[in-house]
Amino acid sequence: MLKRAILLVGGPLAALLVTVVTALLLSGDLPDPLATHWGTGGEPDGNMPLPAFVVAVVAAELASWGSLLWQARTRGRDGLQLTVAPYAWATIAFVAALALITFAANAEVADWRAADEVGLLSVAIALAVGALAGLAGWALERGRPLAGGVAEIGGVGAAAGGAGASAAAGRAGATTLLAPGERAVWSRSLVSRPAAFGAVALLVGFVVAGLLTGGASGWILVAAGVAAAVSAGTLSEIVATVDARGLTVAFGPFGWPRKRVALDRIARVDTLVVEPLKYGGWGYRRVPRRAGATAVVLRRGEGLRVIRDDGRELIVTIDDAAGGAALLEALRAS
Amino acid sequence: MLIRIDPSRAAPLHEQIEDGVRAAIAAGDVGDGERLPAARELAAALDVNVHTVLRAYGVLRDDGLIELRRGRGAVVRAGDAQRRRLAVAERARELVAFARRQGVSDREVVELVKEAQC
Repeated sequence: MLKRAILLVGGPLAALLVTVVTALLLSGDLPDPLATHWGTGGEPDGNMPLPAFVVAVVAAELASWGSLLWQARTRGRDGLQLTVAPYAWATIAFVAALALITFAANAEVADWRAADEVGLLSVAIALAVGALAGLAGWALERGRPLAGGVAEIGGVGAAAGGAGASAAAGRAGATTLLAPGERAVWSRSLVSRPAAFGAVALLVGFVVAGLLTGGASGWILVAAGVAAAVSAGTLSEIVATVDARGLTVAFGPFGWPRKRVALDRIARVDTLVVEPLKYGGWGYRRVPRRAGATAVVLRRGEGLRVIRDDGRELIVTIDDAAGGAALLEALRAS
Repeated sequence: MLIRIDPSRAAPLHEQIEDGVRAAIAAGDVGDGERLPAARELAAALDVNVHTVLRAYGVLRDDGLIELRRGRGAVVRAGDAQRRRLAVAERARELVAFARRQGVSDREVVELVKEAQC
């Protein structure tokens, strides 16, 4: 309840108050109009009347806050995750940080043309503040289900995960029986918002750092940012598919690259509860202290495991893993 | 989401695929915003022609249940209210089929539903 109050009211209200109160306290020391835009060299080149600037900032903050409250009204009733929370928090904090930077640069100068320089470093600081607030917004909402149907499954996974169980949660229960000649496919997708958010944050962070650095080393930073963002983006989304060919895991928004375990190579299938820290963390990784085991970990909780005839294992975190396991069993039997 | 098709059944394959997706949405197996396999992938998985899947996806799109994006596949567009309605529609279809098997006319079924609402 407290988390909800902070997310929906406390955080945004604090940012709003900080903006308005700072403007009121400093209004005696600020020029009117005040410098609100700076050229690439850091020199002030645009201005606005103080009231208009404060209204614009507050309006931007209220718009983001409004999107959050609107989603809380439509989704919050069912206890679903407010997916705009990280973005709304990031925007509010970014705008508030820009406003504070503007006030600081204008403080105690007689004319806006005399305002302090504001360069890329200030923008980078504002972006960092926004990214941190976005992470905070995400942290306050994590663990909530994204969609109605997933609610019960997510709940079970979280409860079992809380018990710290990483051992097998048991073989898949009922086997899906296939009639002769019948064909079937099971498919689930899983999106990791932290990974998607991280990809964007990495890209923006490195590009800004690259621009600040400039020159050849700047380009290296930009290239590193793109590479890091691509690898994080690839692990932001997976689609697991079970069909007559076996288990296929497709990575990334474009469904490529992909990894397949052929049906006739599968020796055993089961479901388990994945505790990321016991699997060496999130991402695509070799499981520590278990030779030949590879895991695709996007979140804590329910996972599907296939053991190949040569003893190698593939573990994938996915919802309704039991459904996938049951179909694999049925396909193997037929 | 589990989709099963059987060429030996009377219903054409594209209808079987369509029903499978519909049932998965109604059951909440796939939520709003979740991605369905691309038509080409689903066709390969079920060993059917890609046009069969596209035909099923096309009907689902016309019913406002999914959104088709070039190159990005199909995305479920069914809010909670729509999902609930779909679940009831499934039951309604079952009821009609059951009534026909029992030899009760469609008109009588409508009357029985009205009675049940009282």
